[in-house]
Order: sequence, then structure tokens, then C-alpha cells
Amino acid sequence: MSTLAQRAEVLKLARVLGAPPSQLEYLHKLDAEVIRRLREQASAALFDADRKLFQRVAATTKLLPAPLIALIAEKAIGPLLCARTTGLLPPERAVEISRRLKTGFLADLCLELDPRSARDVIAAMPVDRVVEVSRELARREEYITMARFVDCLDDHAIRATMEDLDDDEALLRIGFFVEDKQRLSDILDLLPRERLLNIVRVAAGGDAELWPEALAMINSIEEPQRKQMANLAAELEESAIVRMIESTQAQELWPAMLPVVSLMNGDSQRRLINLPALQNEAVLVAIIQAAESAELWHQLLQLVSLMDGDSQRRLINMPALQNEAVLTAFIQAAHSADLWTQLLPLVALMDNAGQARAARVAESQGPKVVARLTESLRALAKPAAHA
Amino acid sequence: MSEKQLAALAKELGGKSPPDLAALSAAEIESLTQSLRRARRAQQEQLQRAFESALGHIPMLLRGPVRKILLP
Repeated sequence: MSTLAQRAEVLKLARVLGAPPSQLEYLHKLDAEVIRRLREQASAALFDADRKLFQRVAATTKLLPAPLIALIAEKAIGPLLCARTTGLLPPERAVEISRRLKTGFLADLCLELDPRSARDVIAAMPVDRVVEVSRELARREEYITMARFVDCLDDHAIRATMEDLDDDEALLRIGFFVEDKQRLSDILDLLPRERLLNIVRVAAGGDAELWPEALAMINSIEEPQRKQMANLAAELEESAIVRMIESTQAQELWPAMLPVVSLMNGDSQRRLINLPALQNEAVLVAIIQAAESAELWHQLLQLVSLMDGDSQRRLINMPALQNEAVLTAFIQAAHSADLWTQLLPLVALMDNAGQARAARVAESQGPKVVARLTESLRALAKPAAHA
Repeated sequence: MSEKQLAALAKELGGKSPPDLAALSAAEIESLTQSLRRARRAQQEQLQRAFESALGHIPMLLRGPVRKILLP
């Protein structure tokens, strides 16, 4: 199945080529990054093929008054050729002409424009015009195009656009397509907390297709913002969190979800891990499998240590945790991240056969592991001895 | 994938080597080259039509100088 990034890149290339996206279906076999490079090459080649003609169009704009240029642009030149000429105009002149163009035409032009080729023009565009065109693009659900402009607009224009756009799902969908994740992280900082909380709520409880993309987006942004989004997810009302867990389970997204959970603060993790929806055996097995496939044993160990005693006992004695490979991974994680104080109380909850197996596995890991394990056992036993 | 198809695509891309397209068949690369060729032809046709049509909107007085720039 092709990813959202691949679908977005194929659509962008189809726009450059003026072809229906269905004609380029075979490109879904390529990585999104390869399609992006292909699109950049195609875009440059088409521009270079008629560079002189585009330069002539740009030159005539010096001779004619802005209202006449706007009329000719709409009646004769059309959005595609205007888009390819935009970057050749002095920004002030382009802004002057854009004031005379209909919002719908400017939106059409944006669909054809490579924003990076007209960075200065976009940066010079008055904020109210940016907001009007964004509103029109949002009405047409042109989220891929909107995301392309994020890199070229300053914070002031972005903030005004986001304030005008009151649809949080639209905002989320635009976020999926922003290429520069650093910029996306900066933009998240511009949003008020309540709005971010609602975006997470929409992601967790909206269409099934939203959650995997939202998780991928959260995992791609900078750590402070990732942490913030993770904690906001944990703050949602229980019904929303249950939907989030159900979506994660149904779409096998635990390998992407566990790193997000591991960024939540301790209280949030404790609340989440002890929810009845997470006590379901199938969910727990899926989480263990995710830890195994994505090597997330540290994260899992920390979470399990926050479970209440009964849940821990049930989990640690589950057949999925009884095989030696899983025990080895747990012991190696405890050793490498110094999480013995989290692991040992769990081992104490195992039945006798399980404890013997854990001891054998620990011993097979060599003297350093055994030494550290013994040290940790002593440290854990000390308070009890004093009591 | 054949060298011949890749060379034709590179030519259409202005002489630049395309990124790694090993996952595509020769027929798919050929199809991509055709799409690019069609896009280039369509752009040239659009430009010609746009120039002719634009002149019709320009006042007579300015039509000469604009024609000189657009269609020297």
C-alpha cells in the first residue's frame, strides 16, 4: 500500500505534468523522496525548455498597468503559465498584480506554483490576501498545496491563516503534508494549547485513516513538540483515549504508538497503562510484539513498571512473555538502560518456573549482567531488611 | 529497465540523470518520458495561444511594443 507521502508526491508530479494522477499509478513503487526528486527535475526541465518565453512574459509586465495585466492573466495566460512566470517578477510588482486577480484565480495559480520558485513573491504577499486564498484552498480541500506554502510563509501569515481556518481536521491534514518537519514543529508552537488538544482529539477519534498519519506526523516532529502532543493525547477524556487505543490495535500501530506513550509524563503513562482497554490480553500481546519488532523494550519495561500489581502479575505470566527471546530482550534492556529496579519486581511476580527461566537467561548474558543484577537485588533487599 | 529508456528520460529531463528508478520497468520509464514530452508540447502550445490571445486584450497603442517582446 502506498503511503500518504507517496500519494502526495505523485499528485504533485501529476500537476507539474498536467496529467491525471491515475496515469502515474506505477510511480507508487518508488519512494516518496525519489518521486519528489523526479518532480523537481521535471519542473526545472519544463521551465528551462521555455525559459526565454517566460522571461518575455515577465518583461511585458513592465510595460502594462497592473489592472490590464491581471485581466490578461485571467483571460489569456491562465494559471499554469502565470505560475511558471511568477518567480521571474519583482515581488512588489507581483503583489500589485495579485491585488487585481480574483481569489479563485490565485487559488488555481497556487495549485500550479512551485512555492520554492517564488519564495520572495510569496513572502511579500499581504497577509489578508494570503488568508483569502488559503480559505479558498481549504474550501477545495487542497491540503497538499496548502502544506507546500508553509515553508515560504512567515509566522505572522501562518498564524493569521490558522486563526481563520477553524476546521481542526483540515489543519491536521495540512500538517501531514508539510515537508519540513522543523518548520512544522515551529508552527505547532504557534497554536494555542486548546487547539492542539482538539487536533489530537480529532486525530484519535476521526476517520480511521487519520490516526496512522497523525502518529507518523507526531513521530516526525522535534522532541519538545512530540512530547507536548504525547501529553495532550494522554489528557484526552477516557472515551477518546479508548478510541485511540482501539484504532492503534485495529491498525497494528503499536510500533508507532509505544514511542509516543514513552514520551508522556509519569502520571499520564500510569493513567493510560491502567485503563481497562489496555488490560485486554490481545492488546497486551500486540504491545509485546511491537516492542519485539521495533526494539522498544526499554519503553515497555518502564510502562509495565507503572501498572498496578494484579495487571503486572497477569502480564508477566502471559505465555508471550515466557519465551527466552523475550526474557533476554527484557534483561538486556534492563541492563543497558539500568532499569533493574523496574524489572526485578516484575520477575518476583513470576511463578517459580518463570523465575528460574529468568535467572538462567540472566546468567547466560555474562558476568557483568550477573554482577549488576546481584547489586540491584541487594539494593532492593536493603529497605526490606531495615523495616 | 533498459539504458535506452533511461537515456531518453534523461534527455527529456534536460540532460540530468533521473534518480534511482530501478523499481520501474522499461515500459513505465517510457511512459514517464512520454508524459514529460506531452507536458512540454502542451506548455509550448499554451504559450503560443496565450501570446496570441493576450495581444487581443492590449490597447492598439501598446500592441506593437508588446508584440516585439513576446514574438520577436
